[in-house]
Amino acid sequence: MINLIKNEIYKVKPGKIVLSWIILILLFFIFIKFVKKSAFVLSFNLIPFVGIFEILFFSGIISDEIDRGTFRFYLTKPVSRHRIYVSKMALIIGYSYISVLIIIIFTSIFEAKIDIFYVSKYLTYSIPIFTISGQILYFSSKIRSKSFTICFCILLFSFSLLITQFLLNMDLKFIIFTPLPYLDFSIFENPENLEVLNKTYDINLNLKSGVLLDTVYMTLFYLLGLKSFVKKDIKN
Amino acid sequence: MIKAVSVRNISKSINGKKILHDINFDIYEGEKVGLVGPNGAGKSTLLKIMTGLYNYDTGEVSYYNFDLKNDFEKAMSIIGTLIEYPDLYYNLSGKRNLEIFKTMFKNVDEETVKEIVKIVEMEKYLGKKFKTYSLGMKERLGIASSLINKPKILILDEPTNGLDPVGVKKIMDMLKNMKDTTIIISSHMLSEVENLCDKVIFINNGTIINIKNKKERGVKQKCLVSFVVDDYSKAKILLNKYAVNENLEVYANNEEISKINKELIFNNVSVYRILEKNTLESEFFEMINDKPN
Repeated sequence: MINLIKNEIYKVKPGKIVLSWIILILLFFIFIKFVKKSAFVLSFNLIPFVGIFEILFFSGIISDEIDRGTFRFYLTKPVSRHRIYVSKMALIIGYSYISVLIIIIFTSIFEAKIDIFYVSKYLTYSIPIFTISGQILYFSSKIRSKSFTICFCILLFSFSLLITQFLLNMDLKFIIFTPLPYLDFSIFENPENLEVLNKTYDINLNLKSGVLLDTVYMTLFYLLGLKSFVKKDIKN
Repeated sequence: MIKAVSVRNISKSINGKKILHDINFDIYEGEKVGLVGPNGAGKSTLLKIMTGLYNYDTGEVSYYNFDLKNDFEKAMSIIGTLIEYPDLYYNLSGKRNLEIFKTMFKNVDEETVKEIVKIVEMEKYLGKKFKTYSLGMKERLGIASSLINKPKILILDEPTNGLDPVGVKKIMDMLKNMKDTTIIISSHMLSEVENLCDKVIFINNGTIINIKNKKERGVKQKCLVSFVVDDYSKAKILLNKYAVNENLEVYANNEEISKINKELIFNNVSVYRILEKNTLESEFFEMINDKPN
């Protein structure tokens, strides 16, 4: 499995990944310099960047290989499609975890302390980026279009709350049982806004439901992506 | 004889359209088998099923008794594949590409890789990125990647597509020299298949229409022959009843050829040469009921 993950790293180019981490660190220092808030608070603003990098780097993780025909070689070697899928999943999850850890480490170094409350809160607030990674794998495997996956995931990730409000305005309340309102946990940092939203639409968005729904849908996306990857014919 | 490949009752539909109907054949160890048929006959679909790229509706494929569905990893560890165009990782060097494939096998060492690279004559170019390679180099690296595990069975779909005659010859010579390897090759270049293969599977409209061994072919079989004579106009009139074309080519069996020859000589037309066109090509046209022009 380690070798398969290594192969995946070569394919997405290790340099690109390292560069994204350097950008995250630079952004951290830019925020510190220009925004007068504590490093703990500012670090939460870096989570969406991890999500965006994840979408940009991995949206073609399956569809690109089909389009370019490399799967005609890669999938005809003695490794099951399950294992290949898991190696791709491990790369995306690994990238996200390391990115999150880098931010935690730099924040802790900057604040000169390890705050367990901060770390646990930060890890909780990072859950949506793992849901996004599930979405990426699912769409890349099912729809097999990199551009669709990028556009759709960025749209959902960047405007999740706006789309949620739009759908609630149309009285489509089922939306609160989907991960859509919970693709960005920053709303829970602002209790007044959350209360207004809950009262306006007579709903109950809360962090606990967010964690639960995100986890359930993340698992579902990973499994559906796997099913699609294993079952479908490689036509190109 | 040891059975290397067994294909049983394979059927496949795509979007409700039946592409393959009940395909059955066996291939024995060391045999070189050609898969021949017109475009859209189902050759590539069959090869993609045999290499695990396509699922199939019914039937089973096995390599040395390893079932492709249930023992995928064991089955694939003894085969090498080159399906259509050699699309490897274009941003990586040839060496890195081979390393990627090497890690997917359990017992492939560095020496084997070097040996394979030497066979395909790519030693000098391994450091360069795949995207900078010429088509011939890409094809050779593709073949190297399919030989990396020293496969017992090699499955090739149009391995010489787009290559110049020198490239084609190199690859065909290499395949001919692989005496112990069972080879299944699909190619539009029937002369390649004819030179290499002991057995030919004719496929049309998703069905096997015939399987022929080299020894069986060419005795009672019709073939395309061309007569080179001194008096073209007279010969053309004499041979009209045999449906000859403008080049004095006729599609006939041995008996008919002899009869035509006698008739020409009897009518004082000197026959300089009787040229047999590609036998397999003639058989192919006969199988698909389409005579060449």
